[in-house]
Amino acid sequence: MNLFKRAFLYVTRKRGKSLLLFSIILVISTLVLCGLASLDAEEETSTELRGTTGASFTVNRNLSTGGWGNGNGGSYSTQDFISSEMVEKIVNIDGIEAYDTSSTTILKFYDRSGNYYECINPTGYAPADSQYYVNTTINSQYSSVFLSQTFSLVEGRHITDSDENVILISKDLSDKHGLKLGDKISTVNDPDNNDPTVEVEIVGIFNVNIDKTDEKNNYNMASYYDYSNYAFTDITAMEKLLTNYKGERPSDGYSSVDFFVSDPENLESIIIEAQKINSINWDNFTITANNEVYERTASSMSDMSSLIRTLIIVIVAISMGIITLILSMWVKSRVQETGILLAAGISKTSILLQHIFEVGFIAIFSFPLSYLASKIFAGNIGSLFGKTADNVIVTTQHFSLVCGAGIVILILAIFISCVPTMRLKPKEILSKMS
Amino acid sequence: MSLWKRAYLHTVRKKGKTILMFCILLIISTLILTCLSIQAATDTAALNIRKSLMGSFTINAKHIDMQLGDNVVSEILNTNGITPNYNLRSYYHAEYRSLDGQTLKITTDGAVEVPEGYEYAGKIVSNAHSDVDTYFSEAGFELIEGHHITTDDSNVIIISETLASQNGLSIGDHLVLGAIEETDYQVEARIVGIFKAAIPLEPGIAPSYDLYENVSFSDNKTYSQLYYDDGNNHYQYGDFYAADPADLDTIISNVKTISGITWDECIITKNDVDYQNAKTTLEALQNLVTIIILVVIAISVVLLALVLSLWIRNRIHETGVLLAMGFSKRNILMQHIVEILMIAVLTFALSFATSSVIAQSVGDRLLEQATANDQIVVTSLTGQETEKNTVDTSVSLTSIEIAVSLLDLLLIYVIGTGIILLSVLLAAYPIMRMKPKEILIKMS
Repeated sequence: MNLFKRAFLYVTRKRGKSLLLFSIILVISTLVLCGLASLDAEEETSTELRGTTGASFTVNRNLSTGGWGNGNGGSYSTQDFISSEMVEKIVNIDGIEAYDTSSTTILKFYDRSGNYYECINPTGYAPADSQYYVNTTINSQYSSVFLSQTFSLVEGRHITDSDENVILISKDLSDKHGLKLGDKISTVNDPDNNDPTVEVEIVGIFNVNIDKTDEKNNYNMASYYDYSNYAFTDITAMEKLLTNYKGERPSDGYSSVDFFVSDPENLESIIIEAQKINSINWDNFTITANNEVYERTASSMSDMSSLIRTLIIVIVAISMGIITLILSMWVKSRVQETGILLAAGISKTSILLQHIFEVGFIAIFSFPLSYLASKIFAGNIGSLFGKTADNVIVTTQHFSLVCGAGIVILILAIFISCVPTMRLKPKEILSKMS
Repeated sequence: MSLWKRAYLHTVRKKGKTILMFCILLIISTLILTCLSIQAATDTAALNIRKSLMGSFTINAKHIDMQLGDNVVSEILNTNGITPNYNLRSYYHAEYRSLDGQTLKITTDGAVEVPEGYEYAGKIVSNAHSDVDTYFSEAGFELIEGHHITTDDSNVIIISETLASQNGLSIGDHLVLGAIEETDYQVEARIVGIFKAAIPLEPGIAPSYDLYENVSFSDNKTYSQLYYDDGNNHYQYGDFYAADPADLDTIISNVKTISGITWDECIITKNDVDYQNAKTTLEALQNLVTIIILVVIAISVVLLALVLSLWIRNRIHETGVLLAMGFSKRNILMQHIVEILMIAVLTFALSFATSSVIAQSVGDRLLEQATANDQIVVTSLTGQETEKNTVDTSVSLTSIEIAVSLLDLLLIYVIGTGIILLSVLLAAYPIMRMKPKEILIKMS
């Protein structure tokens, strides 16, 4: 009887034992597969967690290296504005998730028949009571007031770079004048300067969440406007509105742009890369990093992820230990059989190979099954916790790793556990038998 | 031969087998204990993340007659879950005068108007800690001389570079602040600092007293003396920090039970955006740990049951012989259970030691990494962090300890024994059902 046949017969005839070994290999490889999948999920979730700190860097015009001029609206800096091409080049750097510009202009709002919309908390001084503090944005979702939850969108949608002639207004203002999504309002910068009027459509309505009466917010120009008198519009509308002020106001570009990175760990390298872009004259612009929250939490976050990683590594390492021990137990229980085979003149190599083939035969079935089992297992347990389920994904890479490493470990374990038996002569084995 | 003796002899004579079973049990219980200890540590790490994300709330009591008082503030600070860091703020206008009663010169260029009665006045911000004031943290003010105001200071002022040079004032000089709203009290203040505004205020928008040149920072005692002069301290706003932002809502509702102030007239604002942003992801990460632990425990249980089945199955021969010798099935079963429990009691105890060693080395590794991380943070991007870091020291992190708890060990004992009993019974069932003759026939 050749060793293949012996191995096959052993496995099929000792059904109970084979089933047990099959289950053990299945369980352990499922555990290892789940572990590997969790390792990836940890990595992904940690990156996401770091991302929630909202790290960004801001590019500003460097006013100290530019000149000053005088025009329609008083003195202004002649420093270059941040051009769209420049923004595009920076956005192309890997790891930048989004960007937004911030520049503000005071605009007047009125309806089709030319009546001004009175602002919230009017002062009683007519020319000022139809003035609104309008931010030009290309991605209002990333505007600092929305990021800080000072405002939150309650109706409609945010402004994106594909929008033209749209506006976001406050809930208070929409209630006061009965304005709703889809309505159009007319805006103008300075009606006394022959400035063009632009009609914009309301695409979103935001709520003011914070206590505006807290005077800690009153440190700059913005504080003279009630938050309910804020509005957001797109760059196309603003370019038309400010056509009389070319060069003075940010109609030809942006005065400041915020770039948000997806992982704050890469902020420094992204900034360095941005500074390497040759076509930008960095003497005219400044870069500021905003990652205070990340800096505060970085060490705790890395503690967390190294703990989880260690947890998984401990699990995988110990699983390998367990399978080695169990195989030893398996081989040890076959001392008698080994003795008889040796006595029947079958070589030690052949017996060893028979054991390996037996386990291999079982493993061929349990490995693929563990792939399926772990997919179901990870998914089901994951779904108990909702969101995490999407993250724990068993991939074919994990599977090939488990198969590769699994086969090596199985063979090694059989070798090691066979050593004590194989060293003995058949007679010694048979006399040692229980 | 009693079952105890048989069990003892089997364990002692079959050294190899015993050692194997011992190792398997040891490894499984070490695995579970280590996992549980690491899980406890990740909870601490998550708490630290929440702590460093910070959550605070502001009480706006400006419109209440007596505003916030010292007794209310100290009661708030005694509330569970509030850190000892806080800031108390008041905003008002005061006229700048010299010691001999002469009005000082203020800046009016760039002002949209100089309101009547405010010709020599500026906006005064009273702070328990001026370094965290929004003018310094947001508007880009920089202290160029002297020191920031802390709770130790009384009757001091930080003025602008312009106000100082216009009136020939320098650090250590005194000036007089005169109340111009509600009362006409006046207070002498010593100049302890001079600031400069890095980014100018847009001209043509602010009234004269709001121009950066005319803004000053003072302490809370000065405010109380100017506007109350009743010997008590009064504060318009109070900022308080929660140790764990997850508790912020509970803390606020507890604070609202404090008597001595009409809470309905106060505006309480939560400030925990960073925590809210990170909340879901952080919880996902914690859930991941829970999932891993559950999987490990479930798989360990299955594994143990399988191994024990293998162990019992290998002893069909022995069982048949014993049955033939007239031992009852119950007696044989008990022997198997006693054998394994004898090993298990020892292994569980030992696993406490082995898992403690693993936990210790994990902890040490983590500590090494933490020190490495600190160094990375220090050599950071822009020069600005150094001054902003003042707030960071207020976050007191809980040190992460990875230790195996006795409770976990107890859990292992209870669950472990339960699994052993159950799986021995299950594995023995097919054998026990058979007659001795059948067993001996089936033997290999």
